[in-house]
Amino acid sequence: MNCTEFENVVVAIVRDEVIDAAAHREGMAHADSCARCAHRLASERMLSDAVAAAIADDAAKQAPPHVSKMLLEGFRERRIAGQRRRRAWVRRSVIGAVAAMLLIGSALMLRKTAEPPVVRGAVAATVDDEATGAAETGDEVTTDFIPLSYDPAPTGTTSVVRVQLPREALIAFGLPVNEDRTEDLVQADLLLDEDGLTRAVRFVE
Amino acid sequence: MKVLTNLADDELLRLAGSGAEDAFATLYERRQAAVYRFALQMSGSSSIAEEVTQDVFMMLLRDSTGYDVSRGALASYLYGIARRLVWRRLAQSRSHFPLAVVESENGRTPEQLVALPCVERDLARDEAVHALRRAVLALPAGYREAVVLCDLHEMSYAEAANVLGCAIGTVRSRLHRARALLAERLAARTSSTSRCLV
Repeated sequence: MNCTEFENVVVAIVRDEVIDAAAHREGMAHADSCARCAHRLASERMLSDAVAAAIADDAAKQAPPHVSKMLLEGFRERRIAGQRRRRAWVRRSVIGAVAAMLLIGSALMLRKTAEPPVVRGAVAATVDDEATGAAETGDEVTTDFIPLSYDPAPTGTTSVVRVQLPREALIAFGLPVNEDRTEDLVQADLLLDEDGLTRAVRFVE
Repeated sequence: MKVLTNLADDELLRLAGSGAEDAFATLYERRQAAVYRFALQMSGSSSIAEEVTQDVFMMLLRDSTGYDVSRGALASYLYGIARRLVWRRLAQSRSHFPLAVVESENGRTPEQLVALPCVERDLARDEAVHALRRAVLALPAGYREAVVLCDLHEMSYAEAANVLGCAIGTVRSRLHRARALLAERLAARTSSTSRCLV
């Protein structure tokens, strides 16, 4: 082994690293025969001793207690901030869900009220349209609606239904009737409210 | 707490991330001394070492997801953060004076040192450690890291390479050169001391 080769293994020898046994042996033999490399080996050993002493000196060194205290305070603050953020998120989610439910409910209500009246109303509306159309064209002559009760005017949806009544029904409302035709039927429009009650009647000629 | 001490670092970190203060305290107690010593040995300043230790664990608190278990041990990850912070601090305070080197006589006054038994041997040992610290602080950055990690922290080349983010061969060659420089300086100090005594 020459000095260059010795330089390559001297650190490994002093640090007790795993090296080839033959290289270790040859390195030590070279140091025995070379004053320069023997000095190099000695200085490496002195360095290792100093390193070992420094490790021993430093073994008990650690961060002062106030660092730990500050870190734990920081940890708690972050945890509390995290909990606040989570609570705020839950609150926002609940508010959002309630708002969405209200919107959906309102939309359903609007849709329901916008739907056409019940079947009876639909039929009545058709009849009503026909009656109105007849009145407009002048084919029919109608009386005014004669109230059948003293209740205030109906406020909800109303419908008109065309019916046929005995002509003598006109008498009950004080209308003139040809006595020869009392058996005949006369057409009348009944004004019905939401409950199906007849509010008023008009006669059609 | 007794159960927590048996847990691995990454498990403690996971628990700490979910808000377990005990887990964080256990992890800190387990790793703080190494981080503190590394920062102290790299900077020579106890105040920088304190700040770095605090910042390393604060960073761990802020972003516990930054650690990837597949890339190495948590200890290596902490050393890696500490290393970056130390260089940043040193760059910020270029005019720093290595206080720890001055403080390295373990707080003893010269009178106390003289009063100790085997005073010559202790003094020589302390002087050797003192000289070593100075020599380490005078090393170029890459060499200093290699000596601190491989010698003072007794890491393997592979562990040090993981911390430094370089090849094992690079760590080995840096350590070799660093030790040659240190040995030379320590030998020069010894010979000058001997000349003074003569």
